[in-house]
Amino acid sequence: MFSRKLLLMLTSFLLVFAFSFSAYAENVIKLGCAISFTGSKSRTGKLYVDSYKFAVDKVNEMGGVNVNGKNYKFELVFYDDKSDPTESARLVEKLITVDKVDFLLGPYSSGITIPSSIVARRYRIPMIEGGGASSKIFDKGNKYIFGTLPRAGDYFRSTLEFLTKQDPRPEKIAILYADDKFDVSVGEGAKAIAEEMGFEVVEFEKYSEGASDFTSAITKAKKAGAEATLVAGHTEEAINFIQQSKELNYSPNLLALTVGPSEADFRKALGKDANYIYGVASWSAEMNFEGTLFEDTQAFVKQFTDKFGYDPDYHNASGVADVAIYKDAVERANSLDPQKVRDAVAATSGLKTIYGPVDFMDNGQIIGSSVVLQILDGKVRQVYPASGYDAVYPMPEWDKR
Amino acid sequence: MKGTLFGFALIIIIGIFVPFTAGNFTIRLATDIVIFAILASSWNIIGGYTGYASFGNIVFFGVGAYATAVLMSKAGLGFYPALILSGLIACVYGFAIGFPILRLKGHYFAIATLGLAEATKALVQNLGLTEGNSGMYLPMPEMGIDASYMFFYFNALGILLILLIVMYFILNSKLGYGFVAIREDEDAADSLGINTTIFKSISFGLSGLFTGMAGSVYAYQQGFIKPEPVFIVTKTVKMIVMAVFGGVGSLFGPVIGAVSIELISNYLSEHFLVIHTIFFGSIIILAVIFAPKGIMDIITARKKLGLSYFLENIRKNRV
Repeated sequence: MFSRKLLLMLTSFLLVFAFSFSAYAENVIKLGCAISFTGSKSRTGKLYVDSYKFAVDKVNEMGGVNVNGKNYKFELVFYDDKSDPTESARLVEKLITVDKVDFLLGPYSSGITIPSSIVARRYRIPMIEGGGASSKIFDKGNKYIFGTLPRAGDYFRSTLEFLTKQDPRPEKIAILYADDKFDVSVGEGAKAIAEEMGFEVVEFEKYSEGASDFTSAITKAKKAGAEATLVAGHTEEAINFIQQSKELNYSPNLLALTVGPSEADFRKALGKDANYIYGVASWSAEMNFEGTLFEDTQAFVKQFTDKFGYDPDYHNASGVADVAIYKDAVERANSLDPQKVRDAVAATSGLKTIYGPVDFMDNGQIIGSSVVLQILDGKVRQVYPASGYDAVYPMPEWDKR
Repeated sequence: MKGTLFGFALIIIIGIFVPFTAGNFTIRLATDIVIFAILASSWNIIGGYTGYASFGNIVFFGVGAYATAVLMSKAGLGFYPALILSGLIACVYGFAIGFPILRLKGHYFAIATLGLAEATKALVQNLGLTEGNSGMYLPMPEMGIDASYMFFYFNALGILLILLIVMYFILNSKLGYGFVAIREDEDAADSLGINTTIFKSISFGLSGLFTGMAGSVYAYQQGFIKPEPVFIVTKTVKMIVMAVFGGVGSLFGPVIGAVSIELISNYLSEHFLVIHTIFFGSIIILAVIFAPKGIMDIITARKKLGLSYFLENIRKNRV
């Protein structure tokens, strides 16, 4: 008698367990991602891997995604694309047809994103990517790709806007840019925006990537009376540029660089000469946006640093936003149907994330904003839009510091 | 002869069987494997039979891919005309370049071919026609998803079969004997009346023809190409590793090499997300030490197969 009771109990227990288990297995939304774990892109690829995992854990901790009154957990399926676009496209194929993922997260770098996004388009599965900014990704009418890095051409918009608000407003601007794809877009975009805002571009010059001598470019800017100089390049070039500006005593009202000011190496190499230099970023750890997954940017930065032991940069923030967008879109669509979720992603409007409010243009790229940074007392501060630190404008001359 | 027929039959049967038993991912994987089999077999023409270790064969792949991209998206050609023209362009490129650089031997030739690939990449990166470094889109095939993957697969398989059949006939002709003679002793071949310059250039051109066609199918399947990935040196290294792994200087060796290397690599990266590269490297090293003549040699020398076979290889190569 006793053994029969036990058996019954055991059976019912097993049944409940089995049901709960199968129920758990059903309530999963699979997010597939082929990204560079090895190869030349793996360093930055890792930033996205960390962010995707971090954000997915957070969503699941908060109770998951609510669809039709049921709670779903996000589950990530990762593959290593070996930094090879061939491999990446094939793996996205695998994610869709073999692993049957519901939605896709993007790889890192534009060159790899494009072939993968073509596969996503063939199967009509949405892909949100945080690691490719090239306009080539978005200008072919692919309705299934969404990107959260802003257009390269808009990079200096905030800086130029900042300049229009100064009194007296500067008139003459010099733009220098490296010859790689990204910086060419930044430079050409800056020129177009500057002219649209009524500035006179007195110098517009391309230099080869890795150049170390800027003396002729600086002399030219000085002669032309450029009041603000914008440089789109890389850290090494930025350091050389500033050192040579000092040697030639070129001190315009504003010196702004794309890459450099936000990096510790730049400040270390230049010491106190780095002070007052301006920079731009699509995102900085100093910003404070209210988020849905995290209370705000500062809370995110703290939790992230505690977990991974490094400071998040815009790659990380962009990756976290990608997952937040999916959560929001799936809940609004109230369905797991790829087409409905795709439409919901496209309709994302003012979604609050720690990366900033998210809205997409018609082509799927985020309507970006960038902020103006300035180095003040050896620290990178956001000076525009205002965040509590006042910009020092014009920059003090080299001998009056 | 019997073995060769058997080999062809096997490739045709397995080749036709595969796509009807598997999903699109497997077909795409199979297409990539067949493309690699074409690359390794093409490398085998110049590297295996003629004895000139080309480290820049990827240049033909890139030229073929870009020729197809330009012909299809700029000139509005259909795929087949573009495929044939791309092959011919790569062939002529190989033949013409062959004249000056095939005078070099050994390491010098290897370095020159390496330089050729890099120089061509730089050219493509800076031409307006190829849209510079930012890459080019190709038109999408106007057919269903499943049909398009079948299409790419059977085109690749067709090119591989044509390549193997052409090679089979060449090897049994004066041309093929000429290649092998050059590999064994170029001066002797020269003194026997073989026009070594022409023969070597033909060999290089043939290698280019099929590699270019492989690049063409690749580009159309990929839908978008950039200079860096289609001119990447590691792909040449992969061709050589595949040819060596399968068996240099044998008709089916590179095909076996391509299939086994890709399957091993795919299996490893599926199961070990990051450290697959270490395992993969170790397998290659072990293979080169224990079976330097490749899998083909193990198959054909089966009467001797056993521990003694591997030990003999080690002795012979003085590891």
